[in-house]
Amino acid sequence: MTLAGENTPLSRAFDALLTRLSIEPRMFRALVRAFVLMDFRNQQFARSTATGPKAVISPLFWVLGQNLIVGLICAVVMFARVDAFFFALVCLGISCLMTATSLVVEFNEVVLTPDDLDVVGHLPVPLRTYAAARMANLLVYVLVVLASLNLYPAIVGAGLRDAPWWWLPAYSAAALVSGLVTAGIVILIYAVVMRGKDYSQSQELLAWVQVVMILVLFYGGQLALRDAQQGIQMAAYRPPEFVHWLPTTWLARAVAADVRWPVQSHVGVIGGFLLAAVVLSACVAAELTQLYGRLQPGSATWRPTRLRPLAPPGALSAPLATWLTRPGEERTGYWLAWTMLRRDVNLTMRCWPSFGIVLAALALGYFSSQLANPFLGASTKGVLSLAAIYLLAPCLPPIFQHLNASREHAASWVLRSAPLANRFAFAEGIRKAVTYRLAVPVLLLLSIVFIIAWRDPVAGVLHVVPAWLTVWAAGCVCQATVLARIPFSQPLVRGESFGPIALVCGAFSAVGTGLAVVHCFLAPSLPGYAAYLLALTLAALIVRWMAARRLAPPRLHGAAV
Amino acid sequence: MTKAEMRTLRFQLQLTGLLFAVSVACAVTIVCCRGLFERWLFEKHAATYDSVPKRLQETVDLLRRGEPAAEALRKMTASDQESIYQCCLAENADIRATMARSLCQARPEFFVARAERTVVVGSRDQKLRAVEFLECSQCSSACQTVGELGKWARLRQRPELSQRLEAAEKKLKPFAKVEKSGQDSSSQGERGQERAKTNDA
Repeated sequence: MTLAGENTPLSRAFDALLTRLSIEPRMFRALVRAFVLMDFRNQQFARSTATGPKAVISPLFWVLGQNLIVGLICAVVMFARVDAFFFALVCLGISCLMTATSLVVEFNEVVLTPDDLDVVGHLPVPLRTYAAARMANLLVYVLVVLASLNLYPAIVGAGLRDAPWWWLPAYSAAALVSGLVTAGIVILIYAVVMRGKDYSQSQELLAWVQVVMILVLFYGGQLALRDAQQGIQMAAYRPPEFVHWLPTTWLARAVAADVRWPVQSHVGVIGGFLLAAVVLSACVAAELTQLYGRLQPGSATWRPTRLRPLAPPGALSAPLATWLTRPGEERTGYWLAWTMLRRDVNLTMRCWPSFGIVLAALALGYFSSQLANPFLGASTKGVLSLAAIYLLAPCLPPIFQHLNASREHAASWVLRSAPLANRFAFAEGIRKAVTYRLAVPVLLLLSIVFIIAWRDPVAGVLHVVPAWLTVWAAGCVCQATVLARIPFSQPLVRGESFGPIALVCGAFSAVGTGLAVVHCFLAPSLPGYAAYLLALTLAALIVRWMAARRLAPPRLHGAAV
Repeated sequence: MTKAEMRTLRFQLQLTGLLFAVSVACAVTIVCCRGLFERWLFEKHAATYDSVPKRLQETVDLLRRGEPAAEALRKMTASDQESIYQCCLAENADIRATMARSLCQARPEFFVARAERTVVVGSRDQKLRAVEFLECSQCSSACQTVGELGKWARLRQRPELSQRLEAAEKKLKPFAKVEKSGQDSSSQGERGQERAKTNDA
């Protein structure tokens, strides 16, 4: 492929324009092409999709796919339900939010890219040309993200009954302008206010915003479709007061041709946004050119990730944690898992979405009045109150699977050479860390919601006791079957999070369904429920004993786990 | 195709282009299926005169005859009131008008808001019945609500509904004025009483 397209009049004109701006056309083309290629090789979401630079399907492709899914869910949930104004308002708001998080997460890769210094640093590339190429690449990136987020709303919105005939171009222009303004604000804030500071932890957290957004939209969409009160339609009919103060509201009004607004207001809003986009673009260009000029190896953008400082090994500062674990291997396992869950945001964010289905069942039940109290009698309206507690156990295998992998897996030799003789005690410590750090907060939340919904504290607590017992038993099964001999020792591989544990998850779901049926029929009778709890406790103890037997023989040579 | 070929810029761009093309096709399909989406927009009205719980039967009979049932309605739970509302919408036009008047006189804040929700979220038939319900309610809050709904229907470009709401608003206007003048006269009466008290003093 030729780098300079001198043959066509258009490219000749473009080259002339670049030359006039003191930008070297040939270098500019080569750099832009290389940057676009690198965008497809290693880009955003490498963290949460565990996709490396050698993967065939690029992380950028997955990002675009996820953005399209966000747009699709938004459009489908609101199509034919709300008016054009509300449709535009929600879609533009989500588009701005996602664009902002994308830029914050990938600021170093998309905006600064200090890695370029290794390749371009020694070449005689003028700063102006490099900055122009980098800005062009940034613009392409923002445009692609905006296109993927707004493709469905732009086309589906045109099919709304009250959408004006110019919806498609008007919405596309509004999405573009709002996206550019958002990108400009984010870049300026990041480049000026947060310059030289380490925000890797918050970046990790924001990398998951898109995953969380998909979960929220997916489950929220389900809730909206089942909502007997038709919350979305009523919100569109009478939007909350604060909405009128949002800049996206003004844009949405302009797009949907709100007849309550005079023509001057429409023109004023569009003109104001365009002006803001132009001013912000100029500021961003000036600021980034300065940044590129100052960029040196070893500067602030080069700084390695800072991890949370470790507590002294074996010493648990919290008295509760000391009380919960036995000294020796168990406490070591607990400390290791607890520390990894605290310091590795990526690991924590991989674990939390597993509980999404429980929280979704809970929210669905609460808002659709299907969270009936099973102690008052068996009823179909109590299905979700049972599902919420028995769906907890199937959440555990993916979490234990995540504990097998780590970004710092290369350092697992330390663990391999550690003098840990009792493997069961070590695994038991890990199980306790998972239970008390992840499962117990969910159990508490379940209990609080049941107490509020039923206005009966005793029933709320008693209803969650079987969930605690199943979590205990499921944890024992997972520590014996899913947890690797040496945790945190495997590299992150996409697809590994569910594939190997599908059977365990299926078994847990089947057992959970059976237990929910038994629970449903025994709950109205107090002796029956007491017998059920006793039987569950016995079963959990048996499972624990079997796990201990499976892990007990120290098939280790010398000092190993 | 080798892995190296798949990792070229051309292939990756083609793959992304394919993804966008499929998405455009899906979006157009969704637009074409608008009727299917609109068919699912309705309220679930399960209660009818025959299916209303026995404890509510007596009240429903009173309401159907146009007799006052304010006390019974006030003591009812929200779900019982909901059942009676659904039962009212399922009745024929004459009985619906009679029931609507009684219901809105007893609990205007609940039943007017409920009918407003039906106009916003119900199916076409449910919307029209709810407008009729509001039209027959003969209370001032219904007049205001119908006015707001009319504006909303005009914005959403639903000519049939907006015309129906306009007609309903015209019918309700005298009641709004009557209530206003009633309020005025009652306030005058209060003022008179106050004056009398001061004279006595």
